[in-house]
Amino acid sequence: MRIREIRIDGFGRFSGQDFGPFERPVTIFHGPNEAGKSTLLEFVRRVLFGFPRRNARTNAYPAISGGSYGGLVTLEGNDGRIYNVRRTSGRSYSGEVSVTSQLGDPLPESELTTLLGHHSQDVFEQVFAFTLDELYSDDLLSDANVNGQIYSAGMGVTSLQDVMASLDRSRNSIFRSGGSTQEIYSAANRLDDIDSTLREVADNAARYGALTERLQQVESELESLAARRRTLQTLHGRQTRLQNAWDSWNDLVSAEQELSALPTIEDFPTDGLNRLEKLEERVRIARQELETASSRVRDAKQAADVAVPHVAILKNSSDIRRLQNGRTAFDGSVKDLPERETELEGHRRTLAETLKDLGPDWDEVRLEEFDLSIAVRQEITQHGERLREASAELSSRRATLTQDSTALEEAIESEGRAQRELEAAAKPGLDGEEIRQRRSLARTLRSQLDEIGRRRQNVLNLRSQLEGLQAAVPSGEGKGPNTTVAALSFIVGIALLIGGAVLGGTALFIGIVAGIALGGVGVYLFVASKSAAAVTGESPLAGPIRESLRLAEAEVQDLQSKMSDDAAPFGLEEINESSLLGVEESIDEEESKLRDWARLKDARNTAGDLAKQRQARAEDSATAVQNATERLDAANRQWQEWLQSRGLLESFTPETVDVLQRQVELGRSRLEDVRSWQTRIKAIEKDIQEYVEAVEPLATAFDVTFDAGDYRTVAAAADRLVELLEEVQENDRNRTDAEAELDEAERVFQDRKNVLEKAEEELAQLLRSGGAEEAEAFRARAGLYQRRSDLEDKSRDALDRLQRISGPGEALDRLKDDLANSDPQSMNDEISNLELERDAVDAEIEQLSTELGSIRNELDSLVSEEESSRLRMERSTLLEQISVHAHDWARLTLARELLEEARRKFERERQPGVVRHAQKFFADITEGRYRQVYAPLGEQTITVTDADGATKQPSELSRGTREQLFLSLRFGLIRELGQRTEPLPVIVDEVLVNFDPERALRAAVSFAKLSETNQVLVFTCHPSVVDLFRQATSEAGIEAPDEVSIT
Amino acid sequence: MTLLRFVHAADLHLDSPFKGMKAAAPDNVSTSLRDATFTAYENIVKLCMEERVDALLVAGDVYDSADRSLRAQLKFVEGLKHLDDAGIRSFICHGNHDPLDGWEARLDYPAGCSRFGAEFEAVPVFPDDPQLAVVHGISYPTREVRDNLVPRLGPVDPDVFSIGLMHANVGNNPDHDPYAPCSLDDLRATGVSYWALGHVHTHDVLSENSPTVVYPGNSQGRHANETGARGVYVVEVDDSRNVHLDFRAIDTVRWERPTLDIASMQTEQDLRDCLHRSAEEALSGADGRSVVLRFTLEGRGALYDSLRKQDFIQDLLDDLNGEWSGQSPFAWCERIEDETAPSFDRQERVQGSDFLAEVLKTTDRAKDDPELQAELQDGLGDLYRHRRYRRLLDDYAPGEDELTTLIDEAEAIVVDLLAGERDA
Repeated sequence: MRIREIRIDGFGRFSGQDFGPFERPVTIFHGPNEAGKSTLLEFVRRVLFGFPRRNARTNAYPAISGGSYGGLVTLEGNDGRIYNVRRTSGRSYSGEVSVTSQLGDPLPESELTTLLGHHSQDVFEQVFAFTLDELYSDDLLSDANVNGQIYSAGMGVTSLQDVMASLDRSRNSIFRSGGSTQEIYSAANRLDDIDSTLREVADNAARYGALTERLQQVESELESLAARRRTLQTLHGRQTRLQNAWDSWNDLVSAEQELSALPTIEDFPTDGLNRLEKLEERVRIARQELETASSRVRDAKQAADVAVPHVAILKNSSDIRRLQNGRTAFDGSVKDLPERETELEGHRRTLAETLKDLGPDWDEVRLEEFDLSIAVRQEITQHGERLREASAELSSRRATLTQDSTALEEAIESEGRAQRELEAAAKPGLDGEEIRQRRSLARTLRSQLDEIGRRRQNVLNLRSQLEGLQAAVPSGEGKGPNTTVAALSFIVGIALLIGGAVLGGTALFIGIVAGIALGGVGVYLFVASKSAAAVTGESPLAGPIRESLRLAEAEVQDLQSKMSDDAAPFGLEEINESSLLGVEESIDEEESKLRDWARLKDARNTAGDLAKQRQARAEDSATAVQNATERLDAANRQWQEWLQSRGLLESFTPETVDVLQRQVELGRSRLEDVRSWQTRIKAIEKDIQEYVEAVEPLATAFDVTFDAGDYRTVAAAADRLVELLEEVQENDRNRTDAEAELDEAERVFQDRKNVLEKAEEELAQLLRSGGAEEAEAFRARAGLYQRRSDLEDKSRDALDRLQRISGPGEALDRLKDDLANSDPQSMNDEISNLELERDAVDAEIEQLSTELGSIRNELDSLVSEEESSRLRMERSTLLEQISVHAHDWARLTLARELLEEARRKFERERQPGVVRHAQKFFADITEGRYRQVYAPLGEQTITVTDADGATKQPSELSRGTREQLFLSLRFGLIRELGQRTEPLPVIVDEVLVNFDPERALRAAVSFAKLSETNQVLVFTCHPSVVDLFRQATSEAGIEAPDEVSIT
Repeated sequence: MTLLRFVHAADLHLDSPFKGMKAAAPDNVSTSLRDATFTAYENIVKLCMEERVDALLVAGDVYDSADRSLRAQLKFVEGLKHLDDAGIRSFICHGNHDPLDGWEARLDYPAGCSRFGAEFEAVPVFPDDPQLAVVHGISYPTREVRDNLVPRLGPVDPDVFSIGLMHANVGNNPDHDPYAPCSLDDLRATGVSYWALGHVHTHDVLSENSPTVVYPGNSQGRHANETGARGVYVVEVDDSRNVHLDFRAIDTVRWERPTLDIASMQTEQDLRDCLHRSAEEALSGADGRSVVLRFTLEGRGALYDSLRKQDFIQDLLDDLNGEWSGQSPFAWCERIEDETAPSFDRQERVQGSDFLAEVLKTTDRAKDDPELQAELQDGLGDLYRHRRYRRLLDDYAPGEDELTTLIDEAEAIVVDLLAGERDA
């Protein structure tokens, strides 16, 4: 791809300025400082790749000299096709870009991308279009696209170092020689701890053996100690028995000695002394009780002999109890009687008042006989309802009649009014059909009039064009067809097309024909203007236009003639806008009149219909009123007949009769009250009389004061009789009790006497059985007998105790022998010695038992020990983890080694074309001073080797040499990229200024060689550089450069 | 009629830890694993009693002497005493893990137990009827017995049903140490009717008859490579001396190594569901036993990148174990091995001219080039020859075969990293 032309509308200091075309391989733009070389370079960059986002670091190059911002760069593809790339400011910051062909045909923007070899803006700026400042910059190698191009090494290589570092990090986190924080190190440490613990646990087995041996020893020792203890226990037991038996032995010996000294009594009553004392006590108590019984008999006999007065009253005790029971009722009756009589009087008065209210002919008899049955009440209710309904209906019918009469009057009045309005209105001149026909005709005329107008306008247009053509022809005389005429024809043609489209109808057809014709003429004239052929005379357009004009005028005539025929019914001589408007207005007026007359006629007919309807309705209402009046009269007659049958006044209404019934009910209730009270008073009087009659005979019989007419004395007599009865009853009970007590006292006296006699007999018998006559002698013999018994018991008890200690038979005899031959002191001494020895054995047993328990616990602990199992499990897991760590580490290590090996081989064997090209350029420029350029794979650096074999980094080179290196690297990249994609122009701004003259020339020669494949545009302010390129192109056998001066 | 019934067990390895587990198990799992060998032995004792067999034969490696586990020996003797109390005799020989010169606690073996010494000895199964059946047993005097022990067996009485009890590697099984090596023909030549062997951990019947040669395998799998049922043989010999073998699983925890292909999985949830389903299937297939799982993920698929995310696999493990390891019986996943491959056409890429192609070519070369291999192995020496870690790695260093595997894995790492850089 080449840049052919540059047209700047407005950019920086440039405005409306064109550069080019650039035909030669090398073009040099030269001019003084600030002439705009850098601006021009930037213009090319931005038109091709877009305006940058505005910020402080970019120069916006505003169009300070005027012109619209942006411009055009014309490119030529390898196939020779021309592309115009125009970029202007637009809505996006990068501007609006348009790509067109040489003929101005728009092309897709992708064509531009293809032309630019699909390179990014960065690559273009870094590699193809750069300034002195950009010549040596780290950005070149750090740009991933550029860097990637160097090796074309593919995926991941740009970050090979990162990948290596990542691998190293992973490896080192697992294992690093000398490291102490790695995972494998931690696992190994834990393993050491476990092994240490396991070694300790391994000693458990030895411990287990020792313990089992010791266990056997201790068990054996414990067995012998237990045997010795049993022996000691036996000896101790024997001595303890002797000691325990010593008191019993003493008792036995002393009892036997005393018994042998006492006289013998063969027999004596058992428990003699005790029995003697108890019998003596029984005799003494029996005597005392006999005396008490005798005194009681005397007292009872005295009480039973007392007399009781008025004892006869006991026979009337039931009558007196009845008086006592009726006493309260009697008082109540005496008190109630006057009150009840007063109340009776009150009831009588109330009844009299009720009868008076009912009327003079009402008495108690009529009151009771009056019929208050449900049937009668039902009859009254029915009469009442019938009367109310008939009356209500009559009222309703009368109201309806009044309303209907009023409505009838209103309807008659409305009908009259409508008739008057109809008569007053004007009758229409035309009917509906006539109006419709006239309106249709008017619409036709309107349409024809419009069409005539459009066609007349078309005639005028055509005439005007014809005149225009006739006026233009002379200005082209002697020359070729004027382009202005061509343009005018074309514009008029287009105008006709548009006009035709707007007007439509026939005008559209004419407009299209004329428009196409004129447009074609315009194009023809334009093309013809390019040739030098001279044409004279009338314009070739005049003929077709004149023909069109003639056609248009004829059609106007036809239309006018037809319209005159159509207008005949309206009697119009001339049809124009005004006259047609008059016709349309007269039709509107006639139509309005017809609508009004029809509306009034409808109103009159409607009012007449309504009057007739209301007349009929008023007549119906009058008939209904008559019927209702008759029904009310019949109901009244029936009611009066009913009143007469009941003996009631004819003036009574059903409501009055209802009131009368309620009054009768009240009177009956009061009559019942009077009768009830009379009955009650009679009952009270009877009760009082019966009580007086019961008191009277008893009071007389038992001397109690009494007056039958005085109720208070009657009550006092009754009370006294009750009191007297209770006194006699009390005295009679006392005498009966005294008689019973006498019988009991006599029976007790006889019992006591028998008891005394029996006790005295038993006492005598006891004394005899003890061999004594008197109690004292009996007591002396009893003492002697008791002593002998005690000694014999003591001796027997002592022997029993000894036997319990020794056992019976020979053992007892041996014990007795031992006791006979022993003494307490020697026994105590022996026991003490045995206990001392036993305690010592016990202590030893306890100690060994403790040890035994301890051994067994420890053995149990060893047997159930699971810690070692757990540790072995953990150890196994740790070993596996270490193995896995080692495996992971090995994988990572091998990954790194393989990567490193691949990198070495790749670098060694496939030093890329970029570097090889760069190496050649660099060697050429430096005239062999540097022989090798080397770009390590995946690293953002480059090294060079000089003729002496010394390897240097760019930073170790002089500025000029460093710039030459990077220029060479760009040459290499340009060459390499050019083999795969569209070769792009190389645009450089003052890149040779730091080179010495020889190297600058060699560099320029390199540029010249490069220009064989890539167009070279050089910007410089140094005339020497211009000379340099002239010389270089000459040396390289390249066409001399185009020189463009910028001022 | 039955002449004799006995249980043939071997390689009890009482109280020996489970091996090859990368993750520390939760308490409940850890306890079960520690007790697993004991529980399996208790199951053997119970089986003997339930089956009312005449004897229990244990063909070596009852325990690991090196572990010096008192508990192992005590439990073992305790079990024998139970059998003795039930009138069941026991015959024990010792192998490379519990040789005669190995550590042993001072324990009293029951009267009905016969332990064989360093030379063949014939002990009648029924002392009251010594002509019915005899056990010829021999123990390892020391850990490493490299000699064929069979020739040491003297003449065998053909009228008596004879059982050989020995810990040996028949036919040079490469998966096990070549201790007491012998051939099947050696055994056939002895005249012994039934060879009760130990040493090989997978149950196997080398010969059905004349003689019957059997490895019952170990009683409890203790390693990811010891998957499936583990147990003993109940052996019944009829009057005609026909031998009937009946394998009985007596293990309590079972190892399973399911392999899942990620090809059909689209989402991480698909993978989780698949793992859970697989765990459930493993449990249901273990007849009420607990299961230790080691999953291997393989194939190419959408989840390849997810599996490379940091902690993703650990999260899967936590999720799985959170669901299953707390149950009884449990399913505990010890690790998930990722052997998936990227969606990456290696054949095509290696043909390319870019750097990645160079890496792939380098790995290919590394597998064939002894010089490069030596270089690579030398690079691993930092760790594998390290004074401290060498011991912990059992003096192991990746050999030729493993180096090839490692190179493939290393290549995958490099491809992932380069792809990551490319994608970043």
